[in-house]
Amino acid sequence: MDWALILTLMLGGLAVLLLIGLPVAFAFIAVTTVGAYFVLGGERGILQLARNSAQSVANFQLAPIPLFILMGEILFQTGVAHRAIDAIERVVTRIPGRMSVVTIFGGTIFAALSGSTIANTAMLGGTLLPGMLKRGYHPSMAMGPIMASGAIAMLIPPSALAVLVGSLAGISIAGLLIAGVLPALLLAVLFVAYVVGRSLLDPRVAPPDVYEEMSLRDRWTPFVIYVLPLSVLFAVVIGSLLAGIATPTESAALGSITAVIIGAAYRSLSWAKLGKALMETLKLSVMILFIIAASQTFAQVLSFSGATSGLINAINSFDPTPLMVLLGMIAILLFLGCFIDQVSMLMVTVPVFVPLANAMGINELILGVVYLLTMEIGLLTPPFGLLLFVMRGVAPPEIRMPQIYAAVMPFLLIKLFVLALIVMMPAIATWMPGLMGR
Amino acid sequence: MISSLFDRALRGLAVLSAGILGVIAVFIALNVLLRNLGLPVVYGALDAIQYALMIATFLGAPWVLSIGGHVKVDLITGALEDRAGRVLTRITSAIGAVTSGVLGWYGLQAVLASAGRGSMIRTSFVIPEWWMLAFVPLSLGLCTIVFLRRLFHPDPAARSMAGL
Repeated sequence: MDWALILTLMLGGLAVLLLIGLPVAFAFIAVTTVGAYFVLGGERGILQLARNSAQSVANFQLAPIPLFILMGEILFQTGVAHRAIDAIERVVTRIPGRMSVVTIFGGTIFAALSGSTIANTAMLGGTLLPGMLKRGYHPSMAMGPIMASGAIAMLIPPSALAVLVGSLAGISIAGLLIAGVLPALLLAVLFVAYVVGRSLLDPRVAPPDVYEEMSLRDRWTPFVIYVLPLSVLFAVVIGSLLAGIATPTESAALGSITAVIIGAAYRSLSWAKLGKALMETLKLSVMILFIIAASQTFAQVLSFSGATSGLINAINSFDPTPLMVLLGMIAILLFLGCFIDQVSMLMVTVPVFVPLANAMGINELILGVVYLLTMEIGLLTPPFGLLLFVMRGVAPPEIRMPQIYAAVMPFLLIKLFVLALIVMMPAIATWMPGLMGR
Repeated sequence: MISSLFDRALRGLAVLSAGILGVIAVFIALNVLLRNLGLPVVYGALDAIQYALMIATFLGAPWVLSIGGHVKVDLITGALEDRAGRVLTRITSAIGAVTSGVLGWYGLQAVLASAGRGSMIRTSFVIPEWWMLAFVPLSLGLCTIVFLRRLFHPDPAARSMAGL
């Protein structure tokens, strides 16, 4: 069969199954089963798929995915994260758009403790949104920073999706985890600059609030008690990676155990909460790993059918520059991000993008960070970005969907700006990984 | 009655899987500690963790499916009326049941062939290969039942919030 036909049938079939609402994992298994039958030698191909599915998941490299999720879940279930947000609110004073800035600080700190953008957005929305709306903040100044900084969790370690990108695309996982740090911090700084700038230009969007007068001691004590100890966790996870003394799997396991110790130290841990954290971890991990079960065979079918090489040759025949190829990949990822989930974006594109990037000499870390940032943007692009609906879920009923779309827009533009900046100045992503283990 | 027993069984497997994830965290951390203290590490932990990860995934998947936790794209389903939603749920459940059933069946053939050949996995442990392969048909068999149940009792789930 012609490779173009196979590619069209597989991707077309996948699109139809996804659109009618078949769970993503089973949509991949369905098209891969049919593809394996026609391309990998009939029944033998399906037997191969069954064997590969076990092997794809039995992979030590994937172990940080559940462990990073577990770490965030423990902090979430024990309420440690919520108290940290309250403590941050006390110490951020005298800045225009104060509560929006608190949101961005809190979101960025929690992003460094959890890999879940949904948990991050839901927590920020649940704790900070009602207060902001009550103080008269414009909905766009209240919800925009929540969604934008909630999504940063995908970029800052511990990011389960960074592990997945690294593992599927064959990029150094430790390198990619570290590569996300600087772009994420840059995003946070630009978000704060935007919030402050807009509040200065139009004070009505973020009325200066009357915050409680309190002594310096009252103001800083909760910060010392609830925020500073979390830096231990940050040091354990990111420090051990940066110093090159632990693999991502080890740093993730140490992070989970440290989160348990921190939860116990605050006397907030119980068997029930630990059990809840483990069950939530299972739910998210299985969701990702079960899709991965089909990944090896899906890529094999595309490769054996000649679709991978055919497509790459077709692209090469235009004699594009590496920059053009990278921009093309970004355009495709941004487009896909408007409609499908993050793991599917990876599964569909990795079999073609990775060999293409290698052939073009595109830096693998840049490709990895481009993946993470476009997936992050995909979480926020109207009409179907997942975090927009998470926001809808925690916002009061009078907030309409178009208001949520409008709120996220300025922050989406900032994210696109940072994406463009990384393409123009790759050092933003590659500088920190270059320092690892020195 | 049978349905609720089935749900309990799925949840039981999920609790086991969640426990496995917890044990993975403890063992990896323990190994790092032992290594840095210059003590011998737990033998075969790396291999055991790979298999444990696979077992947790396959045993947990049917429960995650039964609670609607597998991520799906609800571009169309989210916008449908109840009645149309039920029809679409029936269609996707039928496709899901066939998909899981077919792969589960071939998974079983792979298990039987491997057991017949006496294939062994030789890593830190030497175990029959079919022990590991067996989780694939078990998991997909249970997923088939979950899909079949939804086919006959469609319950258009609320908007999916699964994702990262």
